[in-house]
Amino acid sequence: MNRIVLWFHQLGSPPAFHRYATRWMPWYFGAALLLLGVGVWAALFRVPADYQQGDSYRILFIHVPCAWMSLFVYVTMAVQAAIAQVWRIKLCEILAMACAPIGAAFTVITLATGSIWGRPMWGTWWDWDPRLTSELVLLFLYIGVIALDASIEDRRRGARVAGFLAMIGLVNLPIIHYSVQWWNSLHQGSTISLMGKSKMDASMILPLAFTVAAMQLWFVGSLLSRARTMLLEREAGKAWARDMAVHETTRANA
Amino acid sequence: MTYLPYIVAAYAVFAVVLAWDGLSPWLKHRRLLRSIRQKAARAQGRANVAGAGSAGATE
Repeated sequence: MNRIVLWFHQLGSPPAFHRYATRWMPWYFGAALLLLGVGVWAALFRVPADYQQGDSYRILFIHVPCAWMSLFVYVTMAVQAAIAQVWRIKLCEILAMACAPIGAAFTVITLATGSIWGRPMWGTWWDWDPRLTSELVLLFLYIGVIALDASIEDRRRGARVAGFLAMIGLVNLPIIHYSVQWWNSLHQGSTISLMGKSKMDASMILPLAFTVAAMQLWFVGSLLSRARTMLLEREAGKAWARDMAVHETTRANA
Repeated sequence: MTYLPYIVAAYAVFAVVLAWDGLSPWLKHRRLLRSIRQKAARAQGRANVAGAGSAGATE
């Protein structure tokens, strides 16, 4: 068997995944914090103020990465949920459900920082604008997935039912993305383009790239952390979990 | 107009939510490990008592 395929199969086993997550999670968090530190320092102290928005635009360096992540995490959750529905892979159910609180956290940051930025720029904390409203619907979808998963006693069935909601909610993503084009929106249009020329000054792109990369790494670290905890919660009665818990005590006392 | 309070508030929200996201599963994992260890210790204790009891009965 191909080594990568073999590794992937082995990772599906709960003890192997727990070991993998425990080993790599600190590296992802560490790299994320390092990149975030550099990105935030440059965003706050190095890049010049915007000619129209002054210093208030510095909120963009955390608002935009979190907004992108709120969509990216949702897609990841829906893909994992779809795999879990089709192939009944337990780890995919756990990964899908572990995505929900992380995505909700990114969405809360997006809405809160957007609201704080909107106050001096638009003169209001909130407006029922298409972009803001569809992002709020995204938060409700995340909360719905978390609540549905928690409301069913059979953990595997709960994850599969909540996974359905996650897949149905995918319809909201193009609405969020194109809302600024489809409707007359208070929210500004796209400033950064991955394919074409960005409307943003080149000096501002680099700090943003740092914070975007940091949030991607943070997501992987957080996903591993949450998934290993959920896995341990479900498998607490199994021999591998007992052995691992006792082994960790021995190692900590040594 | 100074935008400093808005910038500080936005970055504070960002830091607090990320800290919650990073710390809450880690703390829960620690609690779970402790509870598994306690259960294992209780089971070991019961097994020892049962072992001593059956050894005493055979003497």
